[in-house]
Amino acid sequence: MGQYDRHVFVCTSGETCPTQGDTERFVKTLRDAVRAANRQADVRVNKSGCFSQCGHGPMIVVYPENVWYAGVQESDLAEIVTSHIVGGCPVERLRYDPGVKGANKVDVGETTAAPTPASPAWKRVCAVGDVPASGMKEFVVGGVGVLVVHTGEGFVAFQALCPHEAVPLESGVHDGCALTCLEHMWQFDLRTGAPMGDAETGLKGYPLREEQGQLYVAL
Amino acid sequence: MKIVVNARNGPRDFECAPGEKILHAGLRSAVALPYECGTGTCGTCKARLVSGQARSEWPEAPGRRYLKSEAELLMCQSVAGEDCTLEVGASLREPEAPAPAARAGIVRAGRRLTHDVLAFDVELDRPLDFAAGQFALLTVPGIAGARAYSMVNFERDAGCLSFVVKKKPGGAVSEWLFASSIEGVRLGVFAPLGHATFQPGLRKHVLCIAGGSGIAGMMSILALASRVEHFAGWDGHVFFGVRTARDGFFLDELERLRASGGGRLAITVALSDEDVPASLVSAYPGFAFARGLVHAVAGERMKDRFADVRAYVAGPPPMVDASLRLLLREARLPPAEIRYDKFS
Repeated sequence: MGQYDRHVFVCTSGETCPTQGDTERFVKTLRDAVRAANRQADVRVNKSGCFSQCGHGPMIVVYPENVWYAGVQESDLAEIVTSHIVGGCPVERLRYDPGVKGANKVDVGETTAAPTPASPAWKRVCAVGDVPASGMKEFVVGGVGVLVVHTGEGFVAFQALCPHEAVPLESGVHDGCALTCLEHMWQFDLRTGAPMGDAETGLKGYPLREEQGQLYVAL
Repeated sequence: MKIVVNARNGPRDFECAPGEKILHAGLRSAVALPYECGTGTCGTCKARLVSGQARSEWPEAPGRRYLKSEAELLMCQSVAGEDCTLEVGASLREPEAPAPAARAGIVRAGRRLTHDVLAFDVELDRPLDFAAGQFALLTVPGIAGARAYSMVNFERDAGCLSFVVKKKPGGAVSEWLFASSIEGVRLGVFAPLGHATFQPGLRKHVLCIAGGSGIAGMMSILALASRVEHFAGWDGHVFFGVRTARDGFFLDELERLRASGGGRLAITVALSDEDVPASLVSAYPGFAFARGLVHAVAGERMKDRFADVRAYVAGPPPMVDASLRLLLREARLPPAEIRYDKFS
C-alpha cells in the first residue's frame, strides 16, 4: 500500500498544459478543497512534469485508480474533488481515453506562439459540405473525437461520445434544439451542451468557426 | 458475498449468493442497477470492478463490445468470487416495479399462432407480481444463457405467464421451442424486468408501435389499460407491423380490446411486404390497414396528434431505431415519454 489514499498529479511544467489553463492555481484550488474536506492527511496533491500527452491539457492524474483527466477547466475542479478524490467516483465526462497507450502528443500549432484560452489554436475539421444538412458527423481532430452538428441554422461542435456510456453521439438524433443519444435517451441542449431530462452531465463543447467553406475548432 | 456499487449518487450494497449473477442479486435486493436486456447484449449493465474478483460466465457476450478495459464487466453475465466493489456511470434510481426474483416454471400449452410464431404459457411455482409491459428471463435446461421474453398477459399475482416467440433460425432456444415437445418442461424464470411499463392513472394518450413478436408486451399493456378503462378518457393508437397477412396474429384479441375500448382505441395493421388483401380488411372491419413499414405508417397517421402521448416501442432493432428517431425528431416527444426495452 502507498502512503496516501489518493495521490493527485497536476501537470504544471509541461509545454502545453500550463498554457491551456492556470494549472498552478489548479493545484492550490485542489489542495484547499482537500483541506476543506479534512482529507489532507490521506490525499496528496503534487505538481508534476510532462505526461507526454501534450495538447490534451490541462491534465490531472489520480491514483490509485489510475484515472487520467484531460481538458480540465477550473470549473471542473470542485466536481473532481467531491466525486473522485473524496467520493471515490471518477468523473467520467472528463476521463482521458485516447485509445492508444504511452505518449500521445498532438500538434498544438506554432510553439513560439503557444495557444492560450484567449487565442486557441484553431484546427481544421472538415469542409462545410462534409456534414449532412440538418445532420451530424464525427471527426477525429488531433486525436480527439469531435462531433460537428448542423442545427439547420449553423454548426456547433461537441465531444463525440456520450458522457454516459461512451456511445458515439453521431448515431443519435437531433432536431436542431436537442441532441438525443439513442442508447439510453440522454439528451443535451445543442446551444450549450447542457444536460436535459435524464442526462446527468453535459457535453463538452468546442468553439467552432467557419472560413471559406471550411470548419475549424479550438480544442 | 457483499457487493458494493458506487454510483454517481452514492454507494449501495447487497448480498450476492455464490454462482448468482451480480445484476440479479442487486435487482432482487431492490437496488435499481442499470440494465436493459439482461442477456449480455446491450451493454447497459456495464460496471468497473474496483476491488475483489468476479468472472464472466459468457466471455463472448456481444455486449462486451461496450467495455473499454479489462476492469469492466457486464453485471448480467458476471458472478462474484469474493466481496467486490463496483462502479457504475450513472445514478441509481428508486425501483419503479416489483423487485425481481428467481422462480421455477413449467411449460404449458404451447401452440402455433402462425407458421413462425409460437405461444406458450409458463406455470409458476409461486405467484409473480409484475407491471404491464415487463419481461422475464427464461433458462432452458441444457442451453446456456437466458433469453428475454415479454409477458403477453397481465394480472396481479399471476400464477401463469404467457409468451410468444418467433422462430429464429440458429437460435438455440427458439429452435428448441419449435422442434420439441415442450409441454411439462421445467424452466428457470427470473422476473419481472423491464422499464417499458404502463401504470394505471397515466394521464396520456397511449401509442404502441410494435413489429412482429414485439406486440407481446403491448398486449399486456392494452389488457391492463382496458381493464382500468384508460380508453374512456384517453386515446389509444396501436400500430402493429408484420410482413404479410399470414404473419398476423393476436388480431382477434386486438379486435376484442378495440371493441371494448369505446371507440377511442384504434388498431392499425401495417404490412411491409404485400398489398393489403381484401379478405383481411373484410375479416377485421374495425381495423385500419396500410402497406408500409410500421414506423412510417405510424408517423404518417399520427401527424399532428403527438401531443400528450406516451409511446411504447418494441420489435426488431432496426424498427425500434427508426421508431425512436420518428418519436424524437418528428413527434418531438420528451425521452421520458418514450418507453422501450432493448433485447434482441
